Amino acid sequence: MSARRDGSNFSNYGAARINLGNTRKRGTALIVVSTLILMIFAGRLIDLQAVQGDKLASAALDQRLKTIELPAERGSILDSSGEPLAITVDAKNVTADQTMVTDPVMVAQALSPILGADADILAKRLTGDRRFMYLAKEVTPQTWEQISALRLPGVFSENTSRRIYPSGDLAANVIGFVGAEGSGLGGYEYAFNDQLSGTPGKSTYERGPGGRAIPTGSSVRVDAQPGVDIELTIDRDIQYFAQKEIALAVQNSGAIDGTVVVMDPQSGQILALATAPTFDPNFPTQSTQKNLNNRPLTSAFEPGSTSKVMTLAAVINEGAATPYTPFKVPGSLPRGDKDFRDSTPHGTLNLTLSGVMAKSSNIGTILAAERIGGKKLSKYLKKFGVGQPTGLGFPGETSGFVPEHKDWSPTSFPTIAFGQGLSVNAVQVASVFSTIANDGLRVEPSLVKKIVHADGSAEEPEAPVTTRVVSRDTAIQVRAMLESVVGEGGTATNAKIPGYRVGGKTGTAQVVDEKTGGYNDEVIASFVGMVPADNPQLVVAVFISQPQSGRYGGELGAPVFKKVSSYALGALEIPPTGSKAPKLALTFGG
Amino acid sequence: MSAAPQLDHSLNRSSEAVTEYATRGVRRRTRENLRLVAPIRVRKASRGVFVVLLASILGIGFIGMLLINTTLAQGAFTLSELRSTQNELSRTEATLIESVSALAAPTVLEEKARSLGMVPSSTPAFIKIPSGKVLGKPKPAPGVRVSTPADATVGEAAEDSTRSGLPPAFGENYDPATADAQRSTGEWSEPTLIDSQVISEDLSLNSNPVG
Repeated sequence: MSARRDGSNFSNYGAARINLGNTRKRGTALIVVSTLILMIFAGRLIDLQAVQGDKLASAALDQRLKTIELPAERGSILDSSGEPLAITVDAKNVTADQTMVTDPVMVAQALSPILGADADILAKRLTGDRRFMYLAKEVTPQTWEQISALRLPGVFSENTSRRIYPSGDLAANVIGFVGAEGSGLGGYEYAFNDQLSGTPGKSTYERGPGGRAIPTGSSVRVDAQPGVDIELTIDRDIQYFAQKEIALAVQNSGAIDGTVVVMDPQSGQILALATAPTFDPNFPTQSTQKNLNNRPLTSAFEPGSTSKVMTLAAVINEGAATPYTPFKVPGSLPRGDKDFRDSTPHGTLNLTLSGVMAKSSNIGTILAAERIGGKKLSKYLKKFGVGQPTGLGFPGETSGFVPEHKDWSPTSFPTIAFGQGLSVNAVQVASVFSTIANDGLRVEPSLVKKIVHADGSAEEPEAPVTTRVVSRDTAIQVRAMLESVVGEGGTATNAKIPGYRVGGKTGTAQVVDEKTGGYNDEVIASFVGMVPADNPQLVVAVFISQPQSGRYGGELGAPVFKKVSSYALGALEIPPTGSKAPKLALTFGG
Repeated sequence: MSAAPQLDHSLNRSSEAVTEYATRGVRRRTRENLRLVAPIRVRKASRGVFVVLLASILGIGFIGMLLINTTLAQGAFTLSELRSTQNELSRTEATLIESVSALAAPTVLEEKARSLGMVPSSTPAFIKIPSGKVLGKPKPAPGVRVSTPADATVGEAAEDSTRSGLPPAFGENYDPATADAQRSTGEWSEPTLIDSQVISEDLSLNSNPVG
């Protein structure tokens, strides 16, 4: 009421002044002011909601959102019956927040016996201002439980996984190993690394101040795709036995290394690929670089006499000779600028082609090979897979080397005929004998049986490539000749397995000196055989490199062949065929 | 329901409406003064119902929200609890896988077989069933010859097996009473599915380096 009165008084003094006393004017002013204020509010609201809205909302969300990587579990490597050769298990990394550790020496002494680490080193890692420090990596969950039970301040854990090889060095040369980051660095761990490791997933969620996920908040989860399991053709038991026997043979003969290949000739599957010395993939850094290699595939050597099988099979397949064809074998044979001799000096011998094989005569082999010539021989070598990749796709694999026929010198033909001047790997040699064992049909060797995806679906590798190398008749005749090698008067009577028919070929190949380029005194003693010879189910190839006691394939390789084959026959339940070995005449009365 | 009666009906209705408007017009003209009418009490009553209605909706909403939140929080707790159980179980699984695969390693198996007096067979041989024909040329295994149940008569064999602490071989006389007696004296216990002693004994092998 008084305002109205005052207002009327003021109104008498200057018309320019806003008359606050006037009710209507005052109301108008109030409306204008509040409209202005509301407009500011509205403007700010539009600015926040419409102009900057998205940006601010996403910034706020970013504060609450947390993305964590979901690691994909690495697939296992299994043997042919699904037994684990390489598996991944949960593990813990032990970490420390140095600022929270009040008494580093005490904590270090408590941890030392559990971690098996030096207390002084641990104490150093516990002292300082760093908020994060590794104390131990990849310890077992039980070890962490022991540590956790001590309730040590400042000691934490981090989830991780650990690759373990439960059978130690078993098939280590094939499996390979992983590095500190968990990715494959050697063997199939390396070759199949992408498939084994899978695809990591991620989880994004809104979290409250305590770090716990907000139940109503938005969350996106992409599950990790676990890696595939790789099932090898390797039979764990045969592999173990072969590895043990070759290690023993290498040790007893003072050799530098040795290799055993066990193969199923009908499927081309490699049942064992053993080499000695080898390494423990649980501790790859403790091994020398040489022993990390898968020698049966990565090292090439001159095959020597085992190569005569290819030459003589080619001669028979071309119809140039039969196992009974007589050869007058002189003590020495001049070809090119060289005189070729056999390993033991002899006068002129009357040998049949079987005799040439059984006695492993270099000269006899040259004479037989001359019936078909170099061009054809070269073609057969290629068909047998020599100088070609094995198809296993193994990292660091060598294809060996066979010079092109056009590049052959006058001495190339005779030397290649009996296994010198060309190089092969152990699996290639086993494959040559498998071809003869499989009636002349070469089946490309394989090491991977199947790939099992995380959803349980199995992926079989493509069917191995098969090549007709020699006819079935030829293969049967060559097998009969190989039986004479193991029979009376042959070079490998040590390879006999009582009750079974065995065929095979010895080899005592000279080693090319890397420095001089010529042959030195060292040899590779080998024996490659098949059993049962009339219906071969197994091919076993044994190579012993640079033995110091003993020299010949028959005395060093054959006994290992016998042991490994006997074991594999029992393990695979292959009974003897019960038939009798043919008696081929090795000599003729000429 | 035919078209004709419907049409008739609508015609009737419109004529009625016309009549009504006509009457109204006449009344409006005659109404000149406003007069006081009794206040309508319905409004007050409806406000009370409205407040109750709103309060109950609000209440139900609050309780509903509370329930949903509680359930969700409960769910979150159960989730984290189950997660930790899962972690614990997968840890146990990892431990068991590791120890089983270590125990199943050929090196360990060979060692165990040898400690039981077993030796690898030198020459494989097979017996054809039912003819009993032997395929292959079996040889006695190398090594020290120990008396086996096959060498002894049945009675002696049973005695031997108790002495060695091993279960009787197949085909021997198995007397449940004797077996029970043996079990009670702790000489030989038939392995049951879960035998903590057997398991813990086996796990101790884990400490042996493999390979």
